[in-house]
Amino acid sequence: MGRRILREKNPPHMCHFKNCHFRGANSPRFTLTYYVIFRKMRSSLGTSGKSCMKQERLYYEDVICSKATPSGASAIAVIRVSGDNCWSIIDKIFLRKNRKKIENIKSHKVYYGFIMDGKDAIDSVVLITFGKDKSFTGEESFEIDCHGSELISQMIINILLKNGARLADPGEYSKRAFLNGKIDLSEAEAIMDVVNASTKQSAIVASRQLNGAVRDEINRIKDSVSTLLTAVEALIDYPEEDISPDVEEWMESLALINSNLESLLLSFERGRFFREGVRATLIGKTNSGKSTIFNSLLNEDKAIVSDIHGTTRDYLDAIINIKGFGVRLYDTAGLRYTTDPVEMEGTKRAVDLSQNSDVILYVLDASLGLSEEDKKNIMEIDKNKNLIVILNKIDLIKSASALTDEITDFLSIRKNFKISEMSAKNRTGIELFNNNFISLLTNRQDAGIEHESAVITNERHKNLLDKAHKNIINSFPYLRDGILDIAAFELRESLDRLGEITGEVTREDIINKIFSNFCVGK
Amino acid sequence: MLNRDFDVVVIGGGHAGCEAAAICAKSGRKTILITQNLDMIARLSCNPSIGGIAKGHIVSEIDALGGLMAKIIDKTMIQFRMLNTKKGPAVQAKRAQADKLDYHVLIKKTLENMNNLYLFQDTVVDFVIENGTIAAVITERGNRISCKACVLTTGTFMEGKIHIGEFHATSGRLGEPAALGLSVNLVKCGLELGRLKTGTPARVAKRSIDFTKLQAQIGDENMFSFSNFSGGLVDRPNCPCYIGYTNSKTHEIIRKNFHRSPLFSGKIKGVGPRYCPSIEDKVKKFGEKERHQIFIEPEGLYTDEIYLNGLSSSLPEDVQREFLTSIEGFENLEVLRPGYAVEYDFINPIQLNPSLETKIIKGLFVAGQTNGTSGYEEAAGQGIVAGINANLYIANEPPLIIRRDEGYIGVLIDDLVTKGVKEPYRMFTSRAEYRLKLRQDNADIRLAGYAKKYGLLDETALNTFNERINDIDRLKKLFFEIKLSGDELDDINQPEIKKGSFWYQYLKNPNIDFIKAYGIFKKHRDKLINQNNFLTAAIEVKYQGYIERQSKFIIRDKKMEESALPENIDYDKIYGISIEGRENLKQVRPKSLGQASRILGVTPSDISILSMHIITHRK
Repeated sequence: MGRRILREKNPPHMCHFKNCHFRGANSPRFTLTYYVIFRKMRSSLGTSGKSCMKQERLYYEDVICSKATPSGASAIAVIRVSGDNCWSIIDKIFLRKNRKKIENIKSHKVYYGFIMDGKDAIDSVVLITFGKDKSFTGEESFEIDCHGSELISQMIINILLKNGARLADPGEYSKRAFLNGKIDLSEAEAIMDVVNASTKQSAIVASRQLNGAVRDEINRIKDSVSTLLTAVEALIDYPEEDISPDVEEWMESLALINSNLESLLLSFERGRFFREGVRATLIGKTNSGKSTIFNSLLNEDKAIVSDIHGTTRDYLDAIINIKGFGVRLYDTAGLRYTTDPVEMEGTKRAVDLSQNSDVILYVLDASLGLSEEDKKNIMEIDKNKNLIVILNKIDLIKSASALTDEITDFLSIRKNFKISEMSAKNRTGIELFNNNFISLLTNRQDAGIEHESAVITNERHKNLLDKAHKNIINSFPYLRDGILDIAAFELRESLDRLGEITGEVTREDIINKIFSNFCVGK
Repeated sequence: MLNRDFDVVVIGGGHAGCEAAAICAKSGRKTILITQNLDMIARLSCNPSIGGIAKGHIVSEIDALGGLMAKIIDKTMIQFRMLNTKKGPAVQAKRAQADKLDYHVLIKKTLENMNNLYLFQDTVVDFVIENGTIAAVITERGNRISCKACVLTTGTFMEGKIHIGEFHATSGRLGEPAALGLSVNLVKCGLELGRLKTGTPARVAKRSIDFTKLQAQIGDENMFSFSNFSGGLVDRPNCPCYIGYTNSKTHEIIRKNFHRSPLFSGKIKGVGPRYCPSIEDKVKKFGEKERHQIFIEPEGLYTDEIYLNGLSSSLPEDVQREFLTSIEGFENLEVLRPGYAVEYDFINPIQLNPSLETKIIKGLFVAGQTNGTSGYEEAAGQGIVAGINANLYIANEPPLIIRRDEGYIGVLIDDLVTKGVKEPYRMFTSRAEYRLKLRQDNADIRLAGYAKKYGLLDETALNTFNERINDIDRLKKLFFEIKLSGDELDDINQPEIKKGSFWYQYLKNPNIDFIKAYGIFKKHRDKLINQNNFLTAAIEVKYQGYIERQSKFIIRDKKMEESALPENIDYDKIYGISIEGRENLKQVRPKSLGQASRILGVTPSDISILSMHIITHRK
């Protein structure tokens, strides 16, 4: 038992995903003992490898990133970033411990600080820079050593992607090192092995990224687009045949393609839960016990808990794990009318946060019942939001059933809600809350679709689908008016983009399709 | 026996051979064109028309390179149609009915009057090869004609065999002997030959057709020249074609006689073109179709022979007659020549460099149907490139390789030498990645760089061209500067075009009719405006955004095209290439990374490995 407690007090990289770690947004309240493990720097290769070739760049100017350490829970994870001018990304995503940007980034330096997603700190990390001459790839590079949770490294990679990097192909670092003359010829064969092995690997990775449902759905869309393109191409190349275009059918088919692409893109929003975690915000009247719940869910005493109204004037957030879902939990200032400017700001932030949340946890003091103020607060929450009303301090009343009925009645106009009884102080009702939380997220009316159907989780796929979707929208007027050269251009481009996800449709494929679908030629 | 000495020998006098010979002579090479029969030079052996989608584009490109086809069809057309007028300017194409006899006569006469060019009737049967280089050709009559380079364009004549039902004969065309013996010697030289099939429909007598039962198809009033240099309209006769249909009875007769078709009985071994199927093929593959369209086209002004486009067949003559007379309007049809199929030897073009020179014999270039293509235009397009490259080869200069973003001819040759041929190859616009750029209106602009570099254009053409470029630039600027006048708005008469709009806004309108816009511009702005120039400028303004989008891809791909692969690369020694990729790379031996990436079976990872190889090799 003692050992277990000890473990929970240990630095974050030792922890389970569950209580992963915690930080206050702009409070220095946490102390982390961070074990920086200086691995044998791979850059040593870079310095010793003689410049046997001219620095020659063929195609590899863009910035690539990827996780260098294997997936799964580990103490720390390393994310590598390489590419010309990639340090400019550091400026956008990293703040030092003193919350300032690094002035004048230098090569082979170690910096300690935070990875920032806009205003939010994601993780405290160690960042190591490598100049062109010191890096493995021969390009400007840096590494981020972050905490070893899958969720955190995924979030950091997402931030890198947002800032212009792309995911590295397997073996791409080695390839760049080779092309930039960092590795001499004798190592070439070994590199080829890497590239080759990683081609297989990439196939596996790619198929993992693409679950069957996504692949099937994209292939279906691709089929529809190529059937449409085939009809268009047949009309272009065989104007004198008696093929009559059924424009109405085309428009229907295009509309279907459009809506299928739209639902795939929407699934990315849902898929965001898996990638970035669910955002859940605790709101409620002051002194209803939000911070106690926050701590209970964290299983650690991190928020300041007191019985003076308005203790939590700003908000706190933490990343927790609820049954496999990564959850970013926000604790906010209580909602009440106040003249204290600091507290007013806190209340405003609470409202802002709740608007951006996936789940709102409205906390009620069960001993005080459902007050008019609570009703007013709940009415203000968007009807379509997931809502859990937590009846806290349940230990203070004999039976909650009357209150539960009253609330159920009050919430009857809403679709997605749960009521959860809890005593945060006694740590009871937490398992029930966890279950409610999960069933709310997964048992929504469209949950059936969510499970069975295609969910896009990969940023790159989303971007390609986005572009393919734009092509389809662009093609509408041209197809309708029979301006086929442009219609075909847009359809072809959308097909190419879908092809980047699930495999190319060649021009030859379309020509073959013309001959099997149409009796043309004379 | 003759013993003559030339720079270039061109074997064959079809569309490929004529273009090759003409351009070589024009470049100052002493050239001889050897053909089996001088009366058969530049014959249109199948349909009496030139141009069409993608093919019309090729004709304009041939013109841009100083070739014959456009100029001659401009003088011999007997009907003109602009195709796809409503489907967007990039896929618009010109198509003309040709007077078959005039076309032949005019080409022959042009060649006869060219300096440095000699026509000669004989049949080439063998090659003399010294140190892997072509040195001379030997003819049937034992003549030895030595040369520095040779262009081989045999059409359907190498080991040609025609089929009409149970009948077959050794012929390249009906009534003309095949060229025998050459195949064997090509194989001896190390080339691999394959066998393809094509076909042609019956020719019938005009007087036996009841035209009242057919639907007339009249050509366009405005007959445009294919040549961008002569620019504008031509004044030629406008003869009607007619449209008719097969019916269920026709199909029944054909179906009943499938067993007598050499195509289905297995007698024909060669692979036929899917895009040019015989009527029996169509009936077999698309049994559910109730009727097939046929075009009834005149063969020329001096003959009453009629060509039945869409009824190509190798069924026995009695069956042909039976199914033909079942067609409405053909009840009393008089067949003059039956339809037939022809099988012939071809050289899989995967054995050629992108210059069209064979990889194993230096100085031997191959063009036209011998490379497995079909169509007059495809043949002529290769012919002119082979001719230019024979000349460059003798001059010891790097060959002309037209990129895929520069011309359909570039797409054609790259496809041939990179992917090889399994069935007769025909050009489609859908084969081109950069269709919006490869338009017929700008063929001269696209290829001007090459035309100038190799001196393919005469001074008048060059002057016309320079004026044209200036005019287009001027117009493009002007469209952004001038607003539509009241009179112009009245003539446009489209409510969505608002008062105060600039000309470019009118041109960018989705429903723009360029010909109408041209008329308005001519009426109100510039009486002397050149139509071609106006169209090019207007299209480029309208499609500006799309053209820019396409340019991005062109620039990206160009990088790959410009990464040359070393001549002596040993694919067996490059570690890590996929097995299929390696085999195909060894066969094709691509010149650039771009070409390598288009080879079947070559994976993106193979390309990475090759790119690494290039770097280490360059060191």
